[in-house]
Amino acid sequence: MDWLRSSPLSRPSQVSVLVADDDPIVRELIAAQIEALGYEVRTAEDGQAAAAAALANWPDVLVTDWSMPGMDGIELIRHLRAHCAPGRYLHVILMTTSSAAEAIGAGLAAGADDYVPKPLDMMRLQLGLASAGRLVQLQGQLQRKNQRLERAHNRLRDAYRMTRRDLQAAAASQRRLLPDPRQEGPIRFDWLCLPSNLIGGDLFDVAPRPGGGAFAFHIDVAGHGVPAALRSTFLHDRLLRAAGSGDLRQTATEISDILLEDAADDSYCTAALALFDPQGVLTLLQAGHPAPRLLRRGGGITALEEGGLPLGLIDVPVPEPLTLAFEPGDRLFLYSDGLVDCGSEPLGEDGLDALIEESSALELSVVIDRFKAAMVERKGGPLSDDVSLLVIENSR
Amino acid sequence: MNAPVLAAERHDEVAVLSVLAPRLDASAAPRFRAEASEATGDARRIVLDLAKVEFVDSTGLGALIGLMKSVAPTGVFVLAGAGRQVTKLLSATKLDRVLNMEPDLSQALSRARR
Repeated sequence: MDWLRSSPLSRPSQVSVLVADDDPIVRELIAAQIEALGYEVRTAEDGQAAAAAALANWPDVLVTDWSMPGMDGIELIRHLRAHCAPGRYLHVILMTTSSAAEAIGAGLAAGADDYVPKPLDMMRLQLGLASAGRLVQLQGQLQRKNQRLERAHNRLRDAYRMTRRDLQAAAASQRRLLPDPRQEGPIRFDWLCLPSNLIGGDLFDVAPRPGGGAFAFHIDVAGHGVPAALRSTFLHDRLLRAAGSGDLRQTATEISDILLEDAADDSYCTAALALFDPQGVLTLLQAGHPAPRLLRRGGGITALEEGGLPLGLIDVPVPEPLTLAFEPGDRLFLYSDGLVDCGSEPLGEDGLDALIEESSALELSVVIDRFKAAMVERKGGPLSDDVSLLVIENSR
Repeated sequence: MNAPVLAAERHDEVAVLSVLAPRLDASAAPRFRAEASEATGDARRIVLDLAKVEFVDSTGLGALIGLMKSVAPTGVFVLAGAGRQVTKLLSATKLDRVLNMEPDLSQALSRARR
């Protein structure tokens, strides 16, 4: 019986057994032998008494005789199966003088798990109790595991709700950072911003320059959600310094250095920084950002492809800015890649140019409405990336 | 959910990492970083095979460049089998200027051995 000892058997004393038999001699004999094996044993003199004892104090194992006056073994099993509380386990061993297949089948149908023929072979009963004990133990482990899982699930759900509330608050404060559409020196601007999961890594702003010009930036910090948003908010301040200095390369270098220092998580951003002077000259520094579009007043779109690498990705000099004429009525479109790549049927660069062309005679706010409608129509589900667009017009 | 992002093998002194995940994005990037740094060990020549990758997002791109930087400036890093979306992303971000790219694994391997 080495295999019995080596198997992960629960200690018998942890398993409670209820023995039901109307023959007092047989009943006490079985009870004494089971007790000698180390199980906790109670006895009942018929089905009725066994049912009452089981409902008062639920046993792990029921060992019951088939034929008893009043409620017989089969009725007792049915009754207890019907009254078994959810999550409770009961292992039933039926004792029967008949080893006919029909009798055993009837016992199994009523809810017995095992049967032992009478007269009793004690070794046979011992084996039945051992396997019952193992099942009782497994059932207990399963139940404890389920309870732990349920508690973990509840904690996660609460944590998720709290995080979501925090994210909503963060999203609201991030939206407050976005500029109101307005006139700023020589330019007028309007924008569209659809963050992918409440808060995003896209950020843009417009600020006046000494001497009557304006500065604008549009950046996309790698990643989405809280880390990207925290980084873009931190960079916001640094970026606005270019409005005062007018030195786009210096500002871009600062941003790049900040991100390079944070080497642990490969953080970087793509960026477009633009200076507008009152005489209609645009200076544009483009760092890995999707090619800005320049729409001339008389028609014609130029994709401003030139530029350099994203900031903070590789320690190389930041790109040289371009200088372009930006005449009254000309428009500059700065956007994140989400605008052209996002959705089930992405807008694409051709779609972007078509939409710019179609809306060229419209007011800026109407242009933005057109883009918004196009994105809502295309997104087909939650956005997989932040989408933002900043449109700037020389309004002189 | 827990399938590996990478398969790694050594071809002499070159560590070849093949990305198994079809999407190298924000959810795959942390495991990509961990598995790549374990697989490359002290190798100074790395080929990253992207033939099975359909999509790389900005976070995936950061992880990929992070791997490139881990062997810079003395090591060799070659990208193999970049698909349409990845090629477009690398050209939009101008990273195609600083990356060694080859159309397939065997060409990438011979370049990494040079």
